[in-house]
Amino acid sequence: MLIARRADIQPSEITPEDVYLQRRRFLGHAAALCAAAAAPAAHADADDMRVTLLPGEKPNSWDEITSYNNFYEYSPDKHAVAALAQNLAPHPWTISIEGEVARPRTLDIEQLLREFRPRERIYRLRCVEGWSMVIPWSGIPLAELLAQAQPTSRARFVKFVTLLDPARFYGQRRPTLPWPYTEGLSIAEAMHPLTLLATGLYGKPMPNQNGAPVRLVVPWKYGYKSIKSIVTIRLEEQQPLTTWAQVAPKDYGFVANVNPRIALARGTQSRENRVGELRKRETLLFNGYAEQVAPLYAGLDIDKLL
Amino acid sequence: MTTSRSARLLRAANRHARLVHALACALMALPALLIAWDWARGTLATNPLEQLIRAHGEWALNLLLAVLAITPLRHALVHASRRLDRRWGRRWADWNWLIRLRRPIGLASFFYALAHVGLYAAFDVGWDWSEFAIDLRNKPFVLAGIATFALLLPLAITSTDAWMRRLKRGWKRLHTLVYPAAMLAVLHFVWLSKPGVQRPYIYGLLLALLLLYRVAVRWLARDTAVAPPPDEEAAEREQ
Repeated sequence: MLIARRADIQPSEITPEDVYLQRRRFLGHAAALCAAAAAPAAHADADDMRVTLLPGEKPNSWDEITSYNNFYEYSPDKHAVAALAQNLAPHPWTISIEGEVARPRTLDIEQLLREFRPRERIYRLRCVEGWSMVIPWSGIPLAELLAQAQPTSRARFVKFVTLLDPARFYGQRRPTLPWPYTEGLSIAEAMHPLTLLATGLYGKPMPNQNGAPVRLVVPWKYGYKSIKSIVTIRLEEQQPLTTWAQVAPKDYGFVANVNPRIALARGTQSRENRVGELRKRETLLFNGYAEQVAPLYAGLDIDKLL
Repeated sequence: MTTSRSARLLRAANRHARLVHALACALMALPALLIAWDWARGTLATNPLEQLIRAHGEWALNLLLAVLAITPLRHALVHASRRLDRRWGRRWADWNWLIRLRRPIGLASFFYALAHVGLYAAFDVGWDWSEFAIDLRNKPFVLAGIATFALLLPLAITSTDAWMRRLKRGWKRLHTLVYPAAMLAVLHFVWLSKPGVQRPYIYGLLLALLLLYRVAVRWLARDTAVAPPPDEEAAEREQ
């Protein structure tokens, strides 16, 4: 199967001509969008965004990453999700890119992986519950997909929607949350090179419990922003109403940047429990990605952004 | 009338109170040993810090409910023995071994609660008082948990025979604190759990049944002339 294939040659070692040309197109779009969003620094190609781990940090194990999952579509119990999610059957799967785009399209997950070059990124993931992990994802920079769809000038936000299917998602049969799960980003955040449309981890296709076949990863925001099992990516003029923000707006804002200085209603976020460690760590501003993402919030009081 | 097998067994249980006591203590220490064993081998859970704290808390609650289950259980056994053996009177005393287990179980519950609070203090807040103060202010479940512990503490201290004698009637009154402690413990569990998690409500239901039983017994005792409850205090001291 195409998705399951682990390349003998690392993707970074070869650059096919079409990808090369595609990247040039993307860079053009990205530059245009950055200018439009008045971002202070035009971001370079996503591959230049080298993500370094802190001293002493190492990725969590496959077992840890795949047995401790927040996926309310199955269960609010993180330990129960892995077994329940075995019925997901994420193939075939199509994603629709729609709304304020010049070229709306629906594409199959295999098509996505054929057209865009998956990269490997090791990111910290910080959950608002107070735990964190280091996860080696693979996926496609969201910016590349968006650039291809050509957002219109009215596209200010990107809305993401999880599949609504109570037959498969047992959790959706109960009104724990307003279904389907919905998340959103500003267009500048969505175009940021760190923002990944993840399709796998540890070089394997995305496990069901981690949000197969395709999920968002926004490493400088709390985990609930990183929506799983996406079927719709919709560009909109208005800020979308997101799931957790509807349930508990004091705890789950729209921006949701990891910020140890903002104590949420559910408690302080100053420290975190790295899964596998007994002593808690200090939580870092923007989850340690301040250098890369601070320009997105230039001129704003980041301690007031919820 | 011949003595039934069950009655003989009960008498044996009463005669060998020390053995029953030792067995119960060993049994109640088992969960802690298993937690420690799993932790040492690295197989406790995906998130060992969380599980270390939670497992001790859950056992404290399990044992607290077990304490509250003793009175209804004893009543049920008395009724059953009356029916089966057709013997009245002295049979009451045969269930004293169960009453004698109540203090050790309560004490075990306290030790699990102590471990729970200790692990939270050491690892979760890392002995940082300001961090603890912030937790206390922001997380209602922490407040409920600490309040539970504060109620259990005097009960554990006064659990000795010497304190029983010293406090006389007051001992029994003091130890009714176990009821608000159990309610706060369940509230602590409900508040810390995420929406959609059912486990804490199962504990809530069990506690409600155990408390309602007491209300019902009192209510019935008021209306009809029921034999007064056996002198449990005397039974408890008679070791």
